Amino acid sequence: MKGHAKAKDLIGLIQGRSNARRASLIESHLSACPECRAAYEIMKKTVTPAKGKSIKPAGAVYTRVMAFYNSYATRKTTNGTMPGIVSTKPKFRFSYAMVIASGACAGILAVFIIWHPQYDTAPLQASRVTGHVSADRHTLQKGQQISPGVLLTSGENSKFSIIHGRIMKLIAGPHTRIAITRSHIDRKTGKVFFEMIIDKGSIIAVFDNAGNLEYTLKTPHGKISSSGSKIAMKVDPSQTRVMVKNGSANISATGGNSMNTEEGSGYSITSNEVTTTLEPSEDEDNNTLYDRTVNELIEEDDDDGVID
Amino acid sequence: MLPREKISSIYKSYSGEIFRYLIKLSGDRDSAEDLLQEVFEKFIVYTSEKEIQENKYRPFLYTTAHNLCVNHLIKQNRTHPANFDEMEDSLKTDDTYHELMVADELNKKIYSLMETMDAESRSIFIMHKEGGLNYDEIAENLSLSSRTVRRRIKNIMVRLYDGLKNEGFIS
Repeated sequence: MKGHAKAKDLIGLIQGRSNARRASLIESHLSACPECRAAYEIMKKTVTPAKGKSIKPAGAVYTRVMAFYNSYATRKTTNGTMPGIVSTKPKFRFSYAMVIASGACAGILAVFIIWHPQYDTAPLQASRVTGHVSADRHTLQKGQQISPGVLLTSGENSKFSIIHGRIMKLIAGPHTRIAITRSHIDRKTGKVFFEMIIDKGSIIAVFDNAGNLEYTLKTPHGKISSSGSKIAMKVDPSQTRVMVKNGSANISATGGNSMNTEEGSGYSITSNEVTTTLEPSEDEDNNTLYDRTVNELIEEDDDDGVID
Repeated sequence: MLPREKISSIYKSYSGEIFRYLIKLSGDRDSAEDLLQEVFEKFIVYTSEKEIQENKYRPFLYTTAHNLCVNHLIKQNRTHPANFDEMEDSLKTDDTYHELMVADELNKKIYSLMETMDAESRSIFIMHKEGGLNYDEIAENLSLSSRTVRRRIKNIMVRLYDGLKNEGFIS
């Protein structure tokens, strides 16, 4: 063993986590190195009880606990839950139950008469699946319809595309996880709403900007809302990076500011703030982010997609 | 409902170690006594409704003590004394407590370093250190996996190692 034992070696030995060979190596080092031996002894003391007199709670605590027992036992007896004692609990009133049940039925009936569903589900479809992609517990198949509530997860070297007609296409790269939370059409206006949570991975998406669509993409750090744009996004544990190629969006951090995007600008979202990564005029890196993501995700993409 | 004598005997068997755990976690004798009382009150109520095996008494008491104390610390948003010298001064009238808390410099430093850690991890560590509960027992008490318990204890030990090294306890 070279040099002194590291903290993880000592802790591993104390916790019994080291394998036999490693443990014997560390033990032989400890027997030869007084410094490490001393550190090991100190660390062992951190998990042994502190010395000192064994203290006890004041006698009054015992008295109070037993007084509680007496009073509780008396109450239990009075309430009739002790064997042989008649219950004094209020009796179930059938008439009250009937009134409540009638009210509930009338309410449900009224809802059925008045209410017409305002929204229809906007069906999403998997237009391309490469490698292993799961939809909840099943494998996602090309052409499969995806309803709100489904969790899509791509594995290593895997990617997938989902589309809604020709107005929305989203391509997700490897190790991406997306929960489709909303996907519906307003019956009256024909407007389409999408909401998805992307908690890791990378996507590139085109949402039609003809004005009849609204989408929100949520990440662990914030959200992006727009009524049509082309964006690339990468979500990692510390931040979400977004590049808006076309159109505009509103980006907000979970616990901080929000801002409206400019075309061609890149943004970084952390839990506390949204920042512009580079000005549009200097945004070579932003375009690189977009182009690289496009290249990674839509290379040889021969489905019905609309991304260019 | 358990008979009075049984409750009395259970109190006498376990109140010491539960109190020791509570006082180490809360850092305050009065709170520890109040919490201990509450733990046993919950035990009385629970055993009056449901039957639990004798070998589950101790896990039940630890689980309840953990939940109550961690909630208490969160509710109080408690700021412990930044160093144990202050605590020592404030407790000079209580010789027994004083001796326990500052029995030696090393333990004083260990508890001082732990003050910056979250209440739940601290609770797990104290159960292990002072209560002598192994990872499986703590895991069962707190509905965690043994692996999680071991990892949390390891994380605290790593932080203690760094802290003790900075303070010169480890060269």
